[in-house]
Amino acid sequence: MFKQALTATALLIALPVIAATPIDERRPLAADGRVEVNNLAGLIEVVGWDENAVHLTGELGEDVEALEIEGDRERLSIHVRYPKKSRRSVEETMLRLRVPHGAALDLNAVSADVRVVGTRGDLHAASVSGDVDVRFDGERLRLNSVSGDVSVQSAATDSELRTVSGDVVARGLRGELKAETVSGDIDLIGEDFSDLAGETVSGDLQLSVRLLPKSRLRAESLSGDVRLRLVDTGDVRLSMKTFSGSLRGRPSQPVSGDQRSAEYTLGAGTARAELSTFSGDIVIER
Amino acid sequence: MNAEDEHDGEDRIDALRGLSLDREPERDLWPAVAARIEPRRSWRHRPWLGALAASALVAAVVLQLRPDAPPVTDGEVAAVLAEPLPRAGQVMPQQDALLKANLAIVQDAESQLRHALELDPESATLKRLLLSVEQRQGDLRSRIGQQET
Repeated sequence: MFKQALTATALLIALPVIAATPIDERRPLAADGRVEVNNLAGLIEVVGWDENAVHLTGELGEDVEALEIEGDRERLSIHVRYPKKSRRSVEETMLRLRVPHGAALDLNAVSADVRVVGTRGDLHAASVSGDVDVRFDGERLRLNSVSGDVSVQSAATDSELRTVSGDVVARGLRGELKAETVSGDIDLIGEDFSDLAGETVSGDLQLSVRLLPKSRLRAESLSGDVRLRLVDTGDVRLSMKTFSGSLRGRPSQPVSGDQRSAEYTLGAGTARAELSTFSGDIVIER
Repeated sequence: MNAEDEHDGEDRIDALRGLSLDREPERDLWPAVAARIEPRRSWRHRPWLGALAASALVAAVVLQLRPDAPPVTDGEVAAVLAEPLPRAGQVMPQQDALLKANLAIVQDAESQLRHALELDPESATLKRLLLSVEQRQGDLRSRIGQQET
């Protein structure tokens, strides 16, 4: 039904572009509507507001072929069209959108940074080389970059953060979180995680977390170091295992272990924390 | 590098070629040299590091992160909106080159993981990391494929 409504009311506007064209477009959008934005180069900045409308401002780069705004009050698509397969440099396009707080966002960039402040609908944001920075009031977010950094400050309860060579920095997340990099570092501070998984191949992983009584924490690396600070040691069964790295900062007398592995029971040991590396060090910080 | 630099470099190489190689060093100098050039996290040689350094785009974190995450305030929103949008510059959207450079990083990571698994074949961690890296490799190949069609 939603699809039919979209088709029936589809609206396509392709604005002709001249050098560094200022943008000032406004469209109605439901409080829980969906906004998709694609921009090759420059910036996608989205800020939540109380109105049931999208207000798009900024400036189009002079190389842009068209700014396409398509859709209806349930779903709006904004696409900045540059010439395909451009072999030369292009002028960036800077987009600033005001959207309803509850709008779901799907933001895609290539060489553009993505910044989101004050929305609470589901958020997906991805860039190839740009950074993704989010200050988010909602519950569910998915942030990706290939070589850019991903940073988020949010109390979201269902999060996935991924990069290849960029770094991940997160503050305030809780509930379920998966953070992955290949060579970038991961730095997480959060509270009340039920399920937290941090994976990196050669980056360092730094966690400062509070675990719930039945939490699961898994932090794994090939050659990067894993550092963990437990806020309120709580009731955790903690295992540390490395093939050729070192274990440092042991929190108490181990239940079992040797130079390469150790297991501790803190409090009632109802939560589970597993730290593992191949050649990186594992450090428990107080 | 300009022509003058290039000429200067050739002169230096010529001067090196003129040095006597008859005398052996009194001790093996390589371990000290290797320790200085070994990347901090490297477990094995990683030839892609040069490519990464050349292609890396580093940008500052825009948001000032606090340890907690209270709801966004009107003041924060006002501060963002008061900030003018950055001036547009010219950029080369090197998506293809960047994707390929990162694919090289992922391929190297896969190679390191496979080598590590030979040494520690029962490691569930290494198996999970390998699976993740294979998925990332698939994603990147798919994106590169989309670029080329």
